[in-house]
Amino acid sequence: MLAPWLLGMVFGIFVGATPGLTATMAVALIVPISFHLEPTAGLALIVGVSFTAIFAGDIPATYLRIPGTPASAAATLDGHQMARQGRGSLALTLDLFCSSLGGLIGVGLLITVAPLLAQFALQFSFYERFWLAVFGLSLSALVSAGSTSKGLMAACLGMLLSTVGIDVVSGAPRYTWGNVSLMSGLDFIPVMIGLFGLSEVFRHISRPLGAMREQAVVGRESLPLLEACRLVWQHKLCVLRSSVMGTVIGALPGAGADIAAWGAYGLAQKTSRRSASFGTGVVEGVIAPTSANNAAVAGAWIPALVFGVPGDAVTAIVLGALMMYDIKPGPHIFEASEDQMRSLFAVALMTQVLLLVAGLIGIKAFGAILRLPRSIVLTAVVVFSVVGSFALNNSLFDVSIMLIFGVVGYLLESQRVPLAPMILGLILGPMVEENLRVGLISSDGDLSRFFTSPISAVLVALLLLTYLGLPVMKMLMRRGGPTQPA
Amino acid sequence: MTSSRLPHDPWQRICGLGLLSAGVIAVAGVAIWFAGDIGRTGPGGGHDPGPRFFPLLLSLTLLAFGIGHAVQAALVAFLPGFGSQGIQSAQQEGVPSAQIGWRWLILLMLLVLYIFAIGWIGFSVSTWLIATGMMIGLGNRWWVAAGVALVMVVVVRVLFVILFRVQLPAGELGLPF
Repeated sequence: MLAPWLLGMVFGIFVGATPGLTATMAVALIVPISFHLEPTAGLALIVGVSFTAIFAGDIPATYLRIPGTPASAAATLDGHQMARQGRGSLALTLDLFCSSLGGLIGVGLLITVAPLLAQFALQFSFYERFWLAVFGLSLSALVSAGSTSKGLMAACLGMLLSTVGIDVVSGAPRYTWGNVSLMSGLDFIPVMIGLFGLSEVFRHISRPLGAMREQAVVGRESLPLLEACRLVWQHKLCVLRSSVMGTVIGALPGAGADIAAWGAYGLAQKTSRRSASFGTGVVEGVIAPTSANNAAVAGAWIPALVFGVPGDAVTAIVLGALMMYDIKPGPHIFEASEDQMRSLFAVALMTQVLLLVAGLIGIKAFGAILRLPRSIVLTAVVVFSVVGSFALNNSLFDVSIMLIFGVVGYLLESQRVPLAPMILGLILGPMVEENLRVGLISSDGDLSRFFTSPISAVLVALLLLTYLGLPVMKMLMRRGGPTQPA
Repeated sequence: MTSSRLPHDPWQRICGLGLLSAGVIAVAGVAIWFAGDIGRTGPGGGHDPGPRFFPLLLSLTLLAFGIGHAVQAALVAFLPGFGSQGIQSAQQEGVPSAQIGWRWLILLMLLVLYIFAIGWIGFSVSTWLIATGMMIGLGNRWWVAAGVALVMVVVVRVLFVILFRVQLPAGELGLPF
C-alpha cells in the first residue's frame, strides 16, 4: 500500500509543480489507475495526490511567480518576493510545514465535525436534500471566477448531461439513441479526464512552448528546517486561524482552496502588525495562504461525505471515485461504510506526515521538473488520458467520450466558461431530479411541502441570499479594482 | 490573440460570444428535439412530472442562456466598450482562457485517427506512432521522440498489462504487443 501511496504523492508533486497543470487534472488521471488497486490503497493514492498537488503548486509560485495550481496564487505574492531576496528555500520549507499542519488541522476538523453533521443530516428528507443539492450547485456556479451567468450555464449543461441514460424513477431511456453504451449514462471518469486532462493539452498546444524557463529564481542553498520550525512556532496562531478558516471555506460548495488561500491571506494582512509590508516577502504572507489551501482540501470533504455535495472539482472527482468503490456518500456513510471511513481518515492523516517527505523531495527536484520538455509532458498526458479512459470498461467508446469532452472543455474554457460547475452538475443532477420527483410523488404534488419544513426554509433563505448577495459582492469587488498587489 | 488583448478587441469578443451562444443554442435545440422521444409519464401518475420534465426544463434554461449570450454579443457589437470591465475582472480573477488556434485541430484529427488505429493495429503500435508524431510536431528531434514514445509504451504496458491486468486492445492484426 505504501508504494502506490508514495508514488501517487510524487506524481502529485510532478503535476502540481508543472505550471499550467492542475491538481484537478492530477486526480482525474490517477482515478482510473486507483481502481486497479486494493480499495484502501486506491483511496490512499487519490488522497495522496489531491493533498500533494496543492502544496506542489506553491513551488513554481515561489520560484517562478507562476502558481502551479489556482490554489497557489495567494502564495505567489510573498513567497516569490522571499525567493528574490535569496530566501526561497526558507519560504518553501515554511510552506511545506504549514501545508502539512493545515492539512492535519483540516483532517482533524473533518474527523470531528463530519460525524456530528451526519447525525443532523439524518433529519433531511427529499425536500431538504433537493434544496441542499440546488444550493450546492448554485453556490459553485456563483462563486466560480468570472461571469456568474456562465457558471450557471455550465452547471445547467452538467445537469443536462446527467439525464443521459435510463431514468431511475421510471426506467425510460433518455438521449440514448439505442446505443447500449449510453444506457447506464455518461461515465463520469472519461468525461472528467476529457474536461480536465485533454482540454489542458489542447490549451497548452495553442501557446508558445517553454516560454517560462528563464525566470526561475531557484535557490541552491540547503533547506533551513530549524529556522522554519522556529518561525512556524512564532506564528502558531496564524497557522491555526488560517487552517480553521481554510477548512470552513473549503466546506462551502464551490469555494475551493483558492478562495480559502486568498481569504486567509487577507485576514493575516488585516491582523498583522506589518500589514503594510505584505507583498514584499513577509513570513505571514506565506504561512497564511499555504496553511489555508491544504486545510480547504480536507474541508471540502465534509459536505461531500455527509451530504454528497462536493465542495470543489477535485472533491467532485473524489466523490465519483468513492461511489465506484461502493461508498455511498450521505448521512448514513459512517454506519454503512464504517471501516472504509476509518481507513479514509487514517490515510488522510498519514498523508499529511508523508507530505513532509514527498514535499522535501519535490522542492529539491523542482529544477529537474522544470527542465523536462513540455512536449514530453503533454504527450504523456494524452497517452495516460487515453489509456485511463479505456481501462475503466475496456471500451473504446469511453475513449471517444473522453475525446469529445476534451474538445468541449477546451472550447468552453476558451470563452471563460468555468468547468467545475459542469462537473458538479453532472454529479448533483441526479440528486436534484430524484429528490424533486420523489418529493412530488410523496406529497401528492403539493409544492408547499418543499418550503414548509424549518430546514428547507433556512436552505431556501440561504439560496435567495446567495443569489442576491454574491453578484452584488462581485460587482463591488470589481468596482474596487484589483485587491492583490502586482 | 492573447487573453490580455481581449478588452481591446471587440470583434474577437463578438465572435467568441457568438460561437458560444450558437453552440449552446444548438445543444439546447437538439436536447429539446430529442426530449420528444422520452416517455411522458412516470410511476407516480399525475404527481410525477415524468422523465421528460427535467431534461426539457434544463434544455429550455440552456436555450435562455444561449439567447442571453447572443444578445450580449449584439450589445458588444453595437455599444462600444460594453462589458469590457467584466472581462478585465475575469482576468484579475484568473479565469483560464485558451487561445483558439489551429494546432489543437491537428491534434484532434490525430486523436480521431488514433482511436481508429487502436482497433486496427493495436494499442502499442498506434500509441508509439501518435506519441512520436505529437512530439515531433511539438519540436522534438525524431530519434528523441521515437525513443521517448517507446519508453511511454513500455511504461503503460508494465503498469496496466502486467501490474493491473488490463487487456489493452491487440487490434484486428492481432500483433503480439
